[in-house]
Amino acid sequence: MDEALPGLLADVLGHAYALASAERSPAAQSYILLLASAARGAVRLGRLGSSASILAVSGPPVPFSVPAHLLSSPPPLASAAPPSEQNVREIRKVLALVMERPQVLTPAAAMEVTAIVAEVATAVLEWAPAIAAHVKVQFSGMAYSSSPMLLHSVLTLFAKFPDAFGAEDERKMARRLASAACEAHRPLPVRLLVLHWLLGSGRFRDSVPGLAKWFYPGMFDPLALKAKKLDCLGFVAATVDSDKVEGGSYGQQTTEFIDDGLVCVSAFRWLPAWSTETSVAFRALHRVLVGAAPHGTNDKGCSGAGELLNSTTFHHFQAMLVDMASEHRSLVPVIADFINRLLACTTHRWVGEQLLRTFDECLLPRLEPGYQLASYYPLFEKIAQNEAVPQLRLIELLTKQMVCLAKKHDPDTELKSWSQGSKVVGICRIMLKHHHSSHIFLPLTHLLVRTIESFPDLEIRDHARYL
Amino acid sequence: WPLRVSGHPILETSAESTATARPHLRRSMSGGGCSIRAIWILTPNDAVAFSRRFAVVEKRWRVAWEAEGVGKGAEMPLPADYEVAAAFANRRRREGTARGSGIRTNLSSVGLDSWVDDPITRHIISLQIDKEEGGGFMLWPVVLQKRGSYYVLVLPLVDPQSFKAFESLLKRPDCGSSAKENGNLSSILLNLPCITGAFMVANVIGDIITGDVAEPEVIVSSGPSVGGLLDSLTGSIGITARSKPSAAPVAAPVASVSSPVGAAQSDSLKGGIRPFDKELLRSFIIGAMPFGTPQDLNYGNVSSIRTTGYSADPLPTDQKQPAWKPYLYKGRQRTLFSSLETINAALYDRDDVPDFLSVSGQLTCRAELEGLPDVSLPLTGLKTARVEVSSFHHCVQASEPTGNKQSLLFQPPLGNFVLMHYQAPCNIDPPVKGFYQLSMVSENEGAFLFKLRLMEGYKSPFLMEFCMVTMPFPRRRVASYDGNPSVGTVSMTEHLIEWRIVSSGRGLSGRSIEATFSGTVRFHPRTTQRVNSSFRSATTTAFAEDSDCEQDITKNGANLDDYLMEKMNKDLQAVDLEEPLSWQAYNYAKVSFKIVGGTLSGLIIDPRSVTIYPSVKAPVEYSMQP
Repeated sequence: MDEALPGLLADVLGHAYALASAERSPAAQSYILLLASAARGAVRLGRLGSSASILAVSGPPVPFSVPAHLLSSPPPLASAAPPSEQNVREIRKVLALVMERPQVLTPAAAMEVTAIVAEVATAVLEWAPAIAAHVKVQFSGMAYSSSPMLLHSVLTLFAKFPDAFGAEDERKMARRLASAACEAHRPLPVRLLVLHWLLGSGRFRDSVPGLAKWFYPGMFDPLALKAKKLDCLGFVAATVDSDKVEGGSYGQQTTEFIDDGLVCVSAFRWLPAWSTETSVAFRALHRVLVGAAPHGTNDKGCSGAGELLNSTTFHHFQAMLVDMASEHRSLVPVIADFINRLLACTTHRWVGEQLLRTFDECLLPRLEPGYQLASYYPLFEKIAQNEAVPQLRLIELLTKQMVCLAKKHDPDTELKSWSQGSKVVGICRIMLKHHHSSHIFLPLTHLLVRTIESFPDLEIRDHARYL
Repeated sequence: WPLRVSGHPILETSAESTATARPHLRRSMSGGGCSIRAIWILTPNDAVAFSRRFAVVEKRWRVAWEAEGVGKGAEMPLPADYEVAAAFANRRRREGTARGSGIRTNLSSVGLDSWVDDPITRHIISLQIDKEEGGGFMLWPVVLQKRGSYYVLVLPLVDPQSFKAFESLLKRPDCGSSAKENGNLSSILLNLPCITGAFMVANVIGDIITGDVAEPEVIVSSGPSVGGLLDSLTGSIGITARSKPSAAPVAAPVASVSSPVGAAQSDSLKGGIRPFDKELLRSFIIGAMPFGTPQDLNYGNVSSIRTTGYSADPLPTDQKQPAWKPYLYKGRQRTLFSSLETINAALYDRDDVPDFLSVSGQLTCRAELEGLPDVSLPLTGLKTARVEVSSFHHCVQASEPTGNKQSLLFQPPLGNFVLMHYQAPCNIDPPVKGFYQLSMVSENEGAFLFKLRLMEGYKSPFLMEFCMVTMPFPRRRVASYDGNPSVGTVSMTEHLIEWRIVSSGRGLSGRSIEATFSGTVRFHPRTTQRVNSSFRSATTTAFAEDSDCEQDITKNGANLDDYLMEKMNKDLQAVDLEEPLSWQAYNYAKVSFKIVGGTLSGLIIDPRSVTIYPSVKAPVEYSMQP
């Protein structure tokens, strides 16, 4: 009833206190919760500011008596008067009883009690700052519990009582969270949540780079956990990288975090492109990029763009993607999707374009014409679509490809030449649509002329497409 | 009092800073705690098997939204059962699977959970409730847990600020946020302990509907324990012994890891639906979370209070009796401890690749003691055992570990409980070492060889109760095998060959043995299978052309391995994110075993050092089972 009608018991707090302090049976927990809830009601109603004692009672509690404030409509505004000295004392007495022995509470009840204590104590903290230390002493042991509810409750106290928990406590707590994610007995969602808590608070984030060793995924960690740990490593890499610019050093190359982290899903290089390992690996790469150059808060674009471009991380990144593309053809569509994702983002479009330029400069010279080149067409299409990327190298490669196809063209390979050749023409078409510069006109004409010479029926069949 | 939050602003701050206008309404939501708005249990056919709503919590939801604007309180009421079922089915259709992909793919679009690109969105989902008269809305956060054939959905109460923050995350058009940005998913989750609470609620409800409510096992040293074989079979990877380490193995990642016959079907319906006792569940909910606020999620406690009530015995001292100990023990007094360790290992038998060995252990306790005594247990050898992490039961007060030592003080609850969980490396050589080779001599025939050494360096009282090797072939059908092992017996099923080296009843102790097994395995010819995976259709349109390359490669002879690998993997399905790796892509053998008589981490307790206050004459027994 107190939950449904907040403040119902605010006037009989004294009775609730007496009941809760006298009860010794296992029902004591319920009385503690009742007292806490009633105390919260009193605080919300601004009773601390009145001159009357919040614990004062007149006569025994009477059933069915509804306090006046519940009947008035609209509800009266709480008084904003500072709490009286007496009521600060009284509320401390109430809190002392509620916090007396958290160990006798069940984890669920402890979570509720912690939440209420945090709210009530915050209300009087200015007049009784010692409460924060008391709260810390009584509850911080819960951080080492197996129960995720208790662990999370302690975290809420960190947020509520910033002055009670010092830098050392923050470091310890951050370490606790990082290590809790490695505990195999915990259910997977909890292990994921723990890492979210670590990354979610500004107070723990500073400690994250020092915890890198906890984030290297274990071999038998579920892939979801591997993905989340890689997020943390990506965070470390981004932080370390930006600190390096400022002169900090963690004695480790950012690139090592990425490479060593990806070991856990290294099979993605040979597994099919739709494998979960592949998704996890490319998600991690994306997180590293976005971590280094986060989206701006006010559409002003990307912070850290310049730093990222010149960072070792990004150079490494480019080399890695080029190697991947040239050594594992099956990854090309995945890489194309990856770049597409960046191109579609207003903040990171430039990263995608830069990667396409890298492919133009570093990948295209490595590729040989032949039937296998078809695997790279998805990437070529991206390059052809993009005005910010030079086209000449691509045209040159496609011209060589046409020559090669023409050479191999015989009755046996007729269908294949046709299929591959028409795709090359398709890429040329994309290029024509997106590049209106005379720059590409001549080499492209050259390519198309050669194509028509080798495949005389092309003009007739494809004429319509160019119109 | 102004909240000081360093660094990143957290959501609560905004709620607090605007609290002056409507203090009690705004404040009512912030600050944690856990209340549940509703619970649904869905069948795989998208029918609602059970639902429960909490009117008191719903009132708080309405009040909180009313504070955001007049009339807002009525905009997002709890949906009817059929609407939830429809929304769940709709989500599955859009995401591809019931849980969703958890990672952004080509199929993800703005507004889908997978758009947020975080694996937790497989467990904390949003549902789009469509109203016929228009004005649909989002239900979030729905904590989802799959147990047996059922889906358990738990909706906790969240504050409007967090709700809106997630909503805007779902609608962000950019390429996906990082933890360094404002309003990221991590900070939303940190501010919502109710989600953590809802997980525990979903968890225990899952336990109840699957009948998985037994207490953790405490092994009494005399007499062999039963069930080890099956347990180890159902949940083992690499080298594993015993698979149920935790009291509540919620969707235990390890347990689901290696069903021998391919794992990716976990979202599909397996077998029929086992009905559950709705009355039992209803009465549990009344006792465990009166009016929607969880107070005790321990099934044993809640049901014993319901059947026998609280104890009426006067307490021996002036203390409060813990809520988790509703009555006191009476009878012969004794305390039992047992260590249980599970080792996960990957043995490569290669000089350049180190083996992977990790031990996860638990210390279980059963204290049959009268009254409310304090038990003190000093732990020693923590550094020697290189214990990396430990967590304790909520009744335990653990001292700060100093060097090698840490002392635990606790008032034990009734029955068996896990006093402590820990992680450690394996500090001795694994009890099974050796290698396994499989080479395909033709398309449908493979030659294999095992050479194993068991219990090398393990002296009595270590006793190996059973040991079995499994060769899974999830993608081939086994036709027959040839060959006899040097020890043990062999059997086969459609997709695997099992070699029992040590069977229960004939343990191995005080000596080491070598076990070899060489032979051939023949498979039925492959039948072409078409994969219908959302992942595949999402990313691989370009692969349709791969046949183009075939001739080219075979002619050139170059990259033949790559090409074969590609061809073999063509019918490989993407595994769930709950799996550690794409099992089906590997040839491996699994060794499962159970030994008793010691621990692999080296962490042991000394029963003589246990003290009980007020002191009683009660024996302390200890057993170990790695």
